[in-house]
Amino acid sequence: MTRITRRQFLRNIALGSGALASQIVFEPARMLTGSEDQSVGDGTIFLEGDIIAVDPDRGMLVINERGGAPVNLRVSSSTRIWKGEVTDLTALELGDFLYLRALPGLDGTFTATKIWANIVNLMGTVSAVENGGFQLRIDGHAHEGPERPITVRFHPSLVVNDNPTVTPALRVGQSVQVLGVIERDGVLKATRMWVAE
Amino acid sequence: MAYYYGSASWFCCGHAGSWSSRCADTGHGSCGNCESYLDHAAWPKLKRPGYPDCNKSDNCLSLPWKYCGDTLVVYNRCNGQQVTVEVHDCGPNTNNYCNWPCGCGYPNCPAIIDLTPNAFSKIANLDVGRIPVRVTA
Repeated sequence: MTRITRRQFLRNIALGSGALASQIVFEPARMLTGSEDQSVGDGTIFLEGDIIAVDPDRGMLVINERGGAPVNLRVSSSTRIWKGEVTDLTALELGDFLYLRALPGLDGTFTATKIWANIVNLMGTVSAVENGGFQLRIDGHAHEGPERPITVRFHPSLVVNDNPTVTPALRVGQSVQVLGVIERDGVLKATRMWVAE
Repeated sequence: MAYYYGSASWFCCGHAGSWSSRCADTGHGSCGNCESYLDHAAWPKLKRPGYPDCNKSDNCLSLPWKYCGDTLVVYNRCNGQQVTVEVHDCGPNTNNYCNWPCGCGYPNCPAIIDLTPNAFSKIANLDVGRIPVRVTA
């Protein structure tokens, strides 16, 4: 297939070439600014945004990509969907935040190949140990910003230090990396953790 | 050019004060132009003209200094996929996981680079979180 960049593809959409047949009214996608995005070897591009429409029966969803432009996505049985665990389109809800990789088609549509819903990956320090979880103070990168505790609860499928049989034995002050799904109430359900020495 | 071995994870450009579950809502990193949807990365030793040097690898690994915009090649040691990234932020802290074994099956070794979700998802699934890598710098 002809490989096009994300900028070229979104430009095509903005010019009106192709949209999924849908009852949803779509606005032209916003043009990208800044440096050109690079396509990976499999031809997919990266998109992120909130779900503003989802239709499992038709295998489609719509996100408002960064800046609010709606982007239509086809979802097939081969699309890998993760929301705390590998799941299917019925698990996705309006308002879920997605990172995804998608294959642009020449007809102006995207086909999602991989979708991650409400996923976060944080590094920080254990500030309190609680039953079934802990409080996490987040570290920054270059800067030490204001500390903001996040409530973390263990997902049933939690894997610690890449060993599924390890139960986290945490102590206050310990450095941890936590990956999981953030829920509507702001609680982070941890699916993977790395606990430093 | 030299090879550096450790682990890679993914991050949102910016800092703790602007934390959000949405990378697009966070900042733009130490260089001011880091973007989650581009092939950008954070490197533990960053020089920024006009600003203090950032060094997050004090005690664990000997890594070279990089400047904003420098290019690195990150190779996933488990699946052979690689991505070329530009350095636009400072981190991660390499001191955690010092002396832990590193290689495919042992990804919780010294963290040497953080990739944007775009770059990381080119060489691994985001839900894996952490992968053993070789960085050409």
